[in-house]
Amino acid sequence: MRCKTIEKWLSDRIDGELSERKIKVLQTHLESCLSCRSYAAALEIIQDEARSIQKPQVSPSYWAKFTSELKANLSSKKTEKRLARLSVKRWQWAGASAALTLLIIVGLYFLLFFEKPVPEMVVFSYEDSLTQISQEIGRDPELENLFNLVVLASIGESLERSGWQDSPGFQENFILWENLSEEEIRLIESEIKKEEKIEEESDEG
Amino acid sequence: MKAKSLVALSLGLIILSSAVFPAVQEQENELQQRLRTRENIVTLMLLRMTRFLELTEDQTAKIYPLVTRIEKEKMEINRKIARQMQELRMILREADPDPEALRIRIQSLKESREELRSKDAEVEAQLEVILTVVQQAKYLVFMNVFFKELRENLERARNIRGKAAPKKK
Repeated sequence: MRCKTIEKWLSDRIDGELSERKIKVLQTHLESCLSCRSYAAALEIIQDEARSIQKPQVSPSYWAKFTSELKANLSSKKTEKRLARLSVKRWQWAGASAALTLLIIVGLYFLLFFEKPVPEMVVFSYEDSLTQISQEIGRDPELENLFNLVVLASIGESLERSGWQDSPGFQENFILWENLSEEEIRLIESEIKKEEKIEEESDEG
Repeated sequence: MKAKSLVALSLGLIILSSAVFPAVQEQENELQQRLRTRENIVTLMLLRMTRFLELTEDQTAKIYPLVTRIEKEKMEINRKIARQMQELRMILREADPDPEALRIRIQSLKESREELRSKDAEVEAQLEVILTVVQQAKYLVFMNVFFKELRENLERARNIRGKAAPKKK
């Protein structure tokens, strides 16, 4: 049996509201529990003291006044509490709304003005690059051919930017020519012819 | 009877070779195309690298032949790897693959891979000698810049194909 229950039963016993069966259980518990026995003794002392206090003689008009004052006090306390609760809630709502607005603004700012960091693949040698690109192309001869042409165009652009035509030694650059297929050489040749034609036309014009 | 058998056998061989030869030829073409693309990428890389690392004439004279030689050697190794892979696939296609034959091919493939790695290591070791420390650092940055450019080129190629493809009605 928990002592908390026993304490409640002790109070009920004083009020004469405890059943016979519970009184027996209570007695058994008190015999074995020192803490509850002390509590019961304390209750009895309070009870005796209360009994010894004389009932004051008060007029019925006093009671009527006392009751009305009590009611007025209670209702004003309730209103105060409700107002306090409302104002706290209002502040909480205002704070939450402000925080939410701020969060949305900051979120939009980052979304609009900051690029998402894309996880970047780092390569350490050109072999890594070649392997990666080769895997991306896969077994797709058409894409491979187009990619090769784009690379060739990039070579052309790079050479043009470096002024290779003015460089007398360029034509002897074995790395470039040795690596080109017949088809690629024909492509370069046709491109050079096109450029020459454009130059001639502009000279004539 | 004997003559008839010979004719039948010859016909069978002709039919078989006509079926197998185009497939082999196609594979060889694909390999050739891949190697040619690789050569062009390396050429582009050398050109870009010269600018990015601000190589001197002396450095260029050392690096270009080095990379070209290593590339040729690697190309040979890559051809060998392609051949070994083909053999491996053929063995695996058999109903009951010979474990010993497979073990030999696996071993030779591993050796080829090591050969490739040793070639890369050779380039790196040589670059450490030829380049200054700043250039070595730039080289690492350049590798990633160049890789990005290659990916952009691949994207361009995809776009070109997308535009060239006939639109579906």
